Amino acid sequence: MNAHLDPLAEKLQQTVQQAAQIILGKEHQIRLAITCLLARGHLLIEDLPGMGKTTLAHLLAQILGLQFHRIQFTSDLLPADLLGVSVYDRERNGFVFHPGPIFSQVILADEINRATPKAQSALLEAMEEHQVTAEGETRKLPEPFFVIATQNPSHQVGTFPLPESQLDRFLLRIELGYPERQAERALLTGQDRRDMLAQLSPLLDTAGLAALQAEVSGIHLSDALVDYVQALIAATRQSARFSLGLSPRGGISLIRSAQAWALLHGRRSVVPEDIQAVFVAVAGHRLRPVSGNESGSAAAQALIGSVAIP
Amino acid sequence: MQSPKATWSPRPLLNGLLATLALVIAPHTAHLPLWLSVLTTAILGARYWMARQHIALPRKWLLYALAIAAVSGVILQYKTVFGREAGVALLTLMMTLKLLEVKNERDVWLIVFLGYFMLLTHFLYNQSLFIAAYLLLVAWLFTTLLIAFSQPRAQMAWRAQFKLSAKLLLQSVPVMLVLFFLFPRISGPLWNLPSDVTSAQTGLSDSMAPGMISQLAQSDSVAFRVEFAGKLPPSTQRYFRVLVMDHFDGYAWRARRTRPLTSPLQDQDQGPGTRYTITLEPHNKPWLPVMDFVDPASLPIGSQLNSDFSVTQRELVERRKRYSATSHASLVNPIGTNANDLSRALDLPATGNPRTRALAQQLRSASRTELDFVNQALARFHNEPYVYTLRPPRLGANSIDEFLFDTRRGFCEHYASSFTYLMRAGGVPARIVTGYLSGEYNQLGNYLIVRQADAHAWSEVWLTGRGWVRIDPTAAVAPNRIEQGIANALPAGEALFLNNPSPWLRQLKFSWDTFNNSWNQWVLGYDQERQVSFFARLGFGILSWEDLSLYLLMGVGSIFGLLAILTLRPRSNDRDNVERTYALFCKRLGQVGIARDPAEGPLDFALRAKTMRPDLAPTIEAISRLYVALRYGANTKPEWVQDFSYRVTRFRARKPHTHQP
Repeated sequence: MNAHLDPLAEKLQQTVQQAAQIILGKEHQIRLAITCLLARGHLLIEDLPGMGKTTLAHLLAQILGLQFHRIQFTSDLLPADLLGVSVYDRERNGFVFHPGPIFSQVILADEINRATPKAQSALLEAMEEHQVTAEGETRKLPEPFFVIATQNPSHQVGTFPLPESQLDRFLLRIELGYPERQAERALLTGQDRRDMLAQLSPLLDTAGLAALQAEVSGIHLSDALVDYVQALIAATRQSARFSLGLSPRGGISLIRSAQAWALLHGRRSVVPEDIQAVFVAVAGHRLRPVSGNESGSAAAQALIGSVAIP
Repeated sequence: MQSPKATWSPRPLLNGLLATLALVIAPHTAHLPLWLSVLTTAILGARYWMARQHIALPRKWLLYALAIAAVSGVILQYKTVFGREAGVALLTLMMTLKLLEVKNERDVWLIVFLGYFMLLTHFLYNQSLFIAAYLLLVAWLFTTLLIAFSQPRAQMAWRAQFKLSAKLLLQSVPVMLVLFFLFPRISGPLWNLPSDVTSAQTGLSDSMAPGMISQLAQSDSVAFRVEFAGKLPPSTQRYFRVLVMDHFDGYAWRARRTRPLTSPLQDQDQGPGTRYTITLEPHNKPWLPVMDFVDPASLPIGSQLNSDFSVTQRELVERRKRYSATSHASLVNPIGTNANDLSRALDLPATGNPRTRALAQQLRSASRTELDFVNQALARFHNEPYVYTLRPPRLGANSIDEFLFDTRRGFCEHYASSFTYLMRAGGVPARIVTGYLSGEYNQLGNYLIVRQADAHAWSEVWLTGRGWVRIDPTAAVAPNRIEQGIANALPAGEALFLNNPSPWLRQLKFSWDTFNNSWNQWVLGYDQERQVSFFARLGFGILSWEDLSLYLLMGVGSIFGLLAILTLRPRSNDRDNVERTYALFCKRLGQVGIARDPAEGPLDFALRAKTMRPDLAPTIEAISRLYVALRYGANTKPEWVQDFSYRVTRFRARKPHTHQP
């Protein structure tokens, strides 16, 4: 299957392999993160502190040769802290815009649910429009523009949980979870991850990434596959398990992510396995189970097992 | 030298074509002149060699010369180019000569179509089941060749091509059936077969000389088959009368011109009689064999009962004929025979056979009644050392004397002849009857097979008050002949084919004959009469040939209409087809415990199946990959569907031998 991969796709495989050496035992999540990037979406990582969220974001930026900025969200963060401010310059006799940290290719928005809704919405607008408006002037954000937001589980103290409409802006949501025993042992005894990161050299450049992103929409979708996607969407809407089904945007996200996933795995067309691989990440944060005890991810996982492939 | 066109020769295909042509010509070699068979074989061989050695095909002028020589040869041989013999010869020659100028596919197609036509010509000679099966096989080969030549790059495997052509042939079956049942039959043969078609048939003739019937007994060709409506009559009563001979010239007995029976017959016990149906093989004579004594009312239209109780029809029996009749063993004609007949039945040549005449006088004077005389004569045959044999010694001028007193070895005609002579010499009217006796019962088909080997001759004597009475002198010599058939009556070593000791072989022979009989009855025997009655029984009433033609057009039209609808329908079912095939694949794996979950993707399933059955991994991989490509991929190719179904249908998950306790 790898025989007829083009060089760019081969680079993608190397990227995954390299990343897997740094973040041990999380290959699926790494792949999902890259998928999200290829599909021009934004990634939400929901997990407890110390699970390697920042490392993952950093790693992606490093390997893909992208410019990286981290923003720690706090409850007193203001939109201007993100977007930037205009400061009067005496020499020029005018206001000069000082771009905020958002003018960066990869942004790690750490603990996004600690910030006030106002600051959150500033970021989310930028994510959607790929541009920011500050002091009456609209400015383009760099391309690619990839936001990795991390969120502590919302039951923690002092958080402003993101509402559903905002969550929908994130193409994928992943959870890293505790590493497996073997992986953790290697992590505990091995080299410091940050040092390893610094030694990595980029495998792709901006142009290469853009070319790959352009290829995603060309991945073939057969009738049979769309049938399957529709069956899945219908199941989320009809099932008694969910109070909210998948929106059309959710459906589009599912297809887009599956296309990117297929590309990442060297396929020219989407197969049901691609849909299944991304379904939990796409639908987990968009679905709301009726039962309060069940998480969206678990319910989505169960749904896949119950919908027959037509 | 060699033009690029001359090198056009896909060799394996060409070899296939040559072999198939050889097969289609082969049966004709039986009646083609030797030079023609040799020439044809030479051309086929030359063409093979030329392709093998890459020799350029002959030039135009040489071809013209060859063609002219061939036509001249045929004209010299047959004095014509028309008719069956010359036509077939010409077709054979031209078809093989065409091989020498094959430059492209078009030429090949021409040859193949000529080959199809050639298939038909065999039926002008032989319409047996065997030849039909053989020609069907050759038609299959030709169709496969057509398929093979239409795709020069041979995308299809040979097996697939054979399969496809078999499918094509099967698809033509409905049209074939419609044509068979509905094509208007005309009375008489469809084409005017030259008279020599049936001339080679053996059978009884209108004269009987010593040795003629024993010669017939060597032939196991079928004379006729009889189906009885009721129980099979015992062997001793199965006398089938064909001819009556009452003229003796000292050597041979001859039949006279027959006259229709005018006086009525009397049935003595008024029983229902024996009803039977005879399927008579063509013998080019007007005689219809019947059992003694036939009821004239039961005879088929166009036939007549003669004064000697034989049955004839106006035309010669040139085609297989099927007719029914009823016979009563007790039917008699005590007064009907006119004096003329009786005096003829006493005629003897003026001289010759003095010893027999003396014996007749001696026996006659020693007996009080005619019946007593008959019994004395029979007793002599029984008591004296006479031998029943297929190989009697040759007889001279006084044949009756020599046989009765010297050689004492003879076949039925010797006994019938000498007995009749003896009767006449003693003043009792007597005559010879030839026909067939007993036959062989085929239990499988529930009918009697009567062969030429069952030909027999016996006597009839006129007893006052009783009329003509059948006397079979052979019964006095070899009772086995009458009771158990000819095979058991002859000494061991004579007429080998008749003694088939193995019951297994017998069974096989019977099955084959049953098959052949059905073929004759239902396929070849489907004539105008049967066609009309067939459709009448279906409720169509009596159809004229115009009606039949109309139905024929309608039948063929509706078949093609249906096909058009089926083929022109949007081909949406390719996808369903792939689905169904994949379901079969999953089912086969499910049988060995690797069941696919409905929500399991094909690649995941393949991965799981491969780890569970590493021995099948390459096959599972290939099938799953094809399936994914066909179902989810872009730009699928139709060949993939074929490849996919081929692989899945051959896929077996079960191990040939499982190591189970």
